[in-house]
Amino acid sequence: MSAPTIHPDSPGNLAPTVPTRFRSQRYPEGLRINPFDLVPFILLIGLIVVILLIDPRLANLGTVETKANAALTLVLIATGQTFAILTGGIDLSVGGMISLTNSLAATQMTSDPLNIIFWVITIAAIGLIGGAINGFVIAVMRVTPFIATLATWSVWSGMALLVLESDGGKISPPFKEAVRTSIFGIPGSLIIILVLVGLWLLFKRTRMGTRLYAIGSNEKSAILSGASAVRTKILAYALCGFFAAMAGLYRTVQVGSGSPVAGDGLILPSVAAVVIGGTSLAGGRGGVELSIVGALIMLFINDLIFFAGVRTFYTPMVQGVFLILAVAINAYGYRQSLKRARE
Amino acid sequence: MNGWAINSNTLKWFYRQNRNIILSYVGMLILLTAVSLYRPGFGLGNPIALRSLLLEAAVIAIVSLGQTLVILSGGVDLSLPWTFGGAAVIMTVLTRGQDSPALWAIPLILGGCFVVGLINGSIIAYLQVSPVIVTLAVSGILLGAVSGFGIGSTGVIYGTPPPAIVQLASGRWLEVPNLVWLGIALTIAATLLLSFSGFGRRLYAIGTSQQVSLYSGINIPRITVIVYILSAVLDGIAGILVAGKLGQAYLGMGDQYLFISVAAVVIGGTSILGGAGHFIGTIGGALLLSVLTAAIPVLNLPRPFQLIVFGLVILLAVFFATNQTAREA
Amino acid sequence: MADLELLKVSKRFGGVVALDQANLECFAGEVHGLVGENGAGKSTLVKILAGAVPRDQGEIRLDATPLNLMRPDQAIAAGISMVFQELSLMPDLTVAQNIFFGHEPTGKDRLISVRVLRERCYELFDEMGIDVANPSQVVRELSLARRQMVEIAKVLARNPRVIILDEATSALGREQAEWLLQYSRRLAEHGKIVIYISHKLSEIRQVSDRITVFRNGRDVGVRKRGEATTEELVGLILGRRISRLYPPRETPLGDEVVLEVRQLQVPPRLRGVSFSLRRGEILGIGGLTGQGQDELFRAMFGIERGHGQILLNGKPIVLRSPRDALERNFGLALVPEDRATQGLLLPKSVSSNISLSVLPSLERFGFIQKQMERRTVLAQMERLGIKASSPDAPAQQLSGGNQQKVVLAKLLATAPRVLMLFDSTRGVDVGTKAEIFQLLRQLAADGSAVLFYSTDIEELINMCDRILVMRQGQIQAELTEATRTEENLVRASLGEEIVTDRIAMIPSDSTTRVPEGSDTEVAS
Repeated sequence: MSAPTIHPDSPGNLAPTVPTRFRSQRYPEGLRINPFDLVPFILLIGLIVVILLIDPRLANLGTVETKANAALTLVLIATGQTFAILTGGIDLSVGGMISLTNSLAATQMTSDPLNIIFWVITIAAIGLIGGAINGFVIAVMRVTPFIATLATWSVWSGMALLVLESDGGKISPPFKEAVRTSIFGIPGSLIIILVLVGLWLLFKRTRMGTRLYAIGSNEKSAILSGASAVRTKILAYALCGFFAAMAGLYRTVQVGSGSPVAGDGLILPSVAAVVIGGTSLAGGRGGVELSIVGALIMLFINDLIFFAGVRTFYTPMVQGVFLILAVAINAYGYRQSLKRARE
Repeated sequence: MNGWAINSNTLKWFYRQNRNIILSYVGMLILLTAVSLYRPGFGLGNPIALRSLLLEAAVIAIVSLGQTLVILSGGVDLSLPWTFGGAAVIMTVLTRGQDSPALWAIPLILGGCFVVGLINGSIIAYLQVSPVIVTLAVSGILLGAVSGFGIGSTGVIYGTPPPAIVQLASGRWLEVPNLVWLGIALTIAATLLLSFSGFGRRLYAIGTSQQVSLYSGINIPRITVIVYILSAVLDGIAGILVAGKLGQAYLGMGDQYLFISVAAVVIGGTSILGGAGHFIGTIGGALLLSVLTAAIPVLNLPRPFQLIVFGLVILLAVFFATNQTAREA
Repeated sequence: MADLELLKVSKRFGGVVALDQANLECFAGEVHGLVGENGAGKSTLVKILAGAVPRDQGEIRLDATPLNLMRPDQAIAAGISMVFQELSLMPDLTVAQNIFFGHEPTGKDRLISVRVLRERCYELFDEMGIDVANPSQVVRELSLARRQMVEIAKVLARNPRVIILDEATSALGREQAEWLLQYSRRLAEHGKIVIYISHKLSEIRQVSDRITVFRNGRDVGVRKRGEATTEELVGLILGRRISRLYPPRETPLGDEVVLEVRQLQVPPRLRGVSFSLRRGEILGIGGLTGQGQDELFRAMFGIERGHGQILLNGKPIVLRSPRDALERNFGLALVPEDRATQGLLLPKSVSSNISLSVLPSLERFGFIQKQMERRTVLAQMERLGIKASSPDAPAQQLSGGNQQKVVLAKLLATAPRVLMLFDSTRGVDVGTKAEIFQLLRQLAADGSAVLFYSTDIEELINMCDRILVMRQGQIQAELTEATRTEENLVRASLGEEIVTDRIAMIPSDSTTRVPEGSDTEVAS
């Protein structure tokens, strides 16, 4: 056997010897896409097509703006939830965080630009810190995410009640203006969504991004390979809290006021959006781009239900069916890929 | 271990096996004593207050029995609020405050719960979908179905359950509330099931490792389906009884019990991953939660702080309960 | 002063002492072999060195500097990297991502480029001199052998000072194992410290400059290359002599066919096998890994559905699940490959594990007859010689060999007509192995039939009456008493003709003592 050569750039050394004559097998480079991974995208496109067929008048920029504005809350919260779920956990406290920041924004924000900036930053910080606390409880105190975040939900909800006793407050007009502006005709909310996707795709390519998936895929292996479960999870839940806080902030713009229970109805849709998009509850597989697709799918399903003239009571029913279908398809695709192993 | 000699070794072994369960009872006692000292008459030394604490604990325990079984199997039953609330509401609507319709209405409702559990368990077992998703989705479907058929709407309060049920739920026998007797009976039944029956053995096996259970010849689908059926039916019974106790029913009745049932199970030392724990532990958790929910108003905290304190205490309780299993991992 | 020193290291897991003031000394430039039975402590010691397990007491010094290795990243930073027995891969990440995990090459923008990652992989593979896997493939889609190669590549990618190989060849094919042995020597030549753990004594003796033997949590002897015979090593490992590893057949083989398989297929890998199994026979299945043996056993145990027929005592049967297979009427029992994830409920008691498959027979009106259960469990524990502190001890406390015995006990309790074993002696110490083989002979003599798959050639030749060598999903060759030689087994595995010429063969000796130079497997 020929002696191995050392690449001149490799750190620390096997002393360079005779260059190797061995060239390992090169595998074909093409993109290997599992058809099952495409289901959410196909579903989304299908839904859009069906809706446009039903009402072709909707095919204009105005609709895009309305839809983007309506979608942003769910998109934000689903983005955050993705981080938690990718690590193999879940964050049920997002409801409380939304209620808290929503109430804060509705009561504390004035028309003064300095005040606005202060509160935006503060709310962002609250989200990060609250999320980090979640991460601490889960990673360091080793409390299971389900219970831990349910408990923090209770705490954040209590704080929301402290800020705002019942529905009320108002949105600061300059802030609303700022969020609702369009740049070059593209609505602000759409820009935010696109920027989110862009940032995520970059994050996925960082070392921390890889570590996130690794911890979710097999935490034990990741730790043995040198990753810190504590640091990764705290970051993941901090990000989740941040996005929940932002969602609460945006909700003031969307609804125009605040409510101490604003977030309660958004917890389960946030998980549903992530799951429908194809991210696995077990962690390690999926991504924010998928969750955003999942959120959009849910919104368009709601639209379809509305168009079909079906009473909104049935909405959770249809969503439930879709949820099961989505997950079943995902699980099936996963099992198929496992069968291809052992070659 | 040879023989049944009770010596320090046996006690040590017993403690180590059941550490988590014991901790929950100890925690409850500490909390009870602390609050009783702060506000005399709260619990210790006041039989009437104790009775009401026990009653609340019994309600929690009854509601949490189904959840205990499901969590032991490695899953979770998020459809509790809807089977609980749905059963309560449908019962009041169908019986309109009379006893005789109850004779057919209640079996019908429980039959419906049976079907819900059957669907839950079947999808989980045969389609291999996560229990979180399935129970959530199925119950959402249920909610839509129930609302859509005009049987009930959210937010509306339906009065008067049949008097027999009210009597059953609020009555007492030998100075002890009926529901507490029911709790005791269920504890005995649960212990027989979990500690002494083949079903219990298989349940623990499945909760520990599905794959090993498969290779050992356990009929996983059958056990799974049975467990979810039991959970749904027990939730329905609990809903009906609580409606009787309250004298009214509304669809959102069960929402708070979801968190409470899971908390009672986990605080009671059962691992959320399944395979380890016991209903006796859940009782301990139920007792602790009962004392906690009673203690918070006593401390004269405004509602916001109630929520905050509640969350914090749960966190601590679960931290101490799960720390053991987490450390051993 | 040795370059790497572990001094008086102790570790306890609950009530079990894993290491008792153990010592290890290694020098740069040497391959240091570690041998010992299951539970002797070698794996624990190296895990402590890799930071995976925190030590209770003792010191670790590298180049005379004391190291505090409480977490894996500290060990990695110190230049210590380990190939774990259970592998440390993330199944949802790609090969490339796993290999460079934690030190991925990034550009100035701190972003990882998939293309650069691929290229680095190929550079590494070129250096290693062997094909590993497709860098873009997701690890969970890889075979066990490839995964192990990825794990090895992952360690080498870090270019560490100290390289620990814990059973690194357990799933590898012959060529890959040979490559690793040679590469280990090369790494040592370049000044690395290579610690090599294997239960294959021949490998250890071939590759190591020095060997440390562990027993009961301590180091009991160090031998230099060429200094110790295999017998001496085995003696050190066991603390006693072993007289016979493979018991011979004592009763003659009858003709009654118990099980017949006709054109059994499980697409895509099992393409069609047919054979028959006689009462009292031990039928071996051999061949390279991944040739359909896995599918065959899964189909015969009801885990997968295949086409074709399975006949029991002449009657065709349908197996829909392992439950069907284990049923009294059928009596097909499988001892699975991975006892940790398929065979045992580790946190549960030995007793619960053993009675797990026979619950129906212990039930009356749904309740378990505890006394009957106890009797059954104690009987099985005695029959198999299971060593545990009590039947109520959790299975995870037992040594690997005893754990395997518990799995066996569970299946033997079902009184199977056909016992199937899938690579069940992997990672089992030589003492337990001898007991298992003795048991199999006993079973065969009592009338059960045994289907025995092993990757160990010597085991197949010495224990089995016939051997079916599988290749590409079909039976390549059937080796009978006349033709079952190591040479033929290898030939058939590779698709070549077997040698039937009597004069050219060396007769197999089934009363093998542990001979010099043979591939005797010891510990883990």
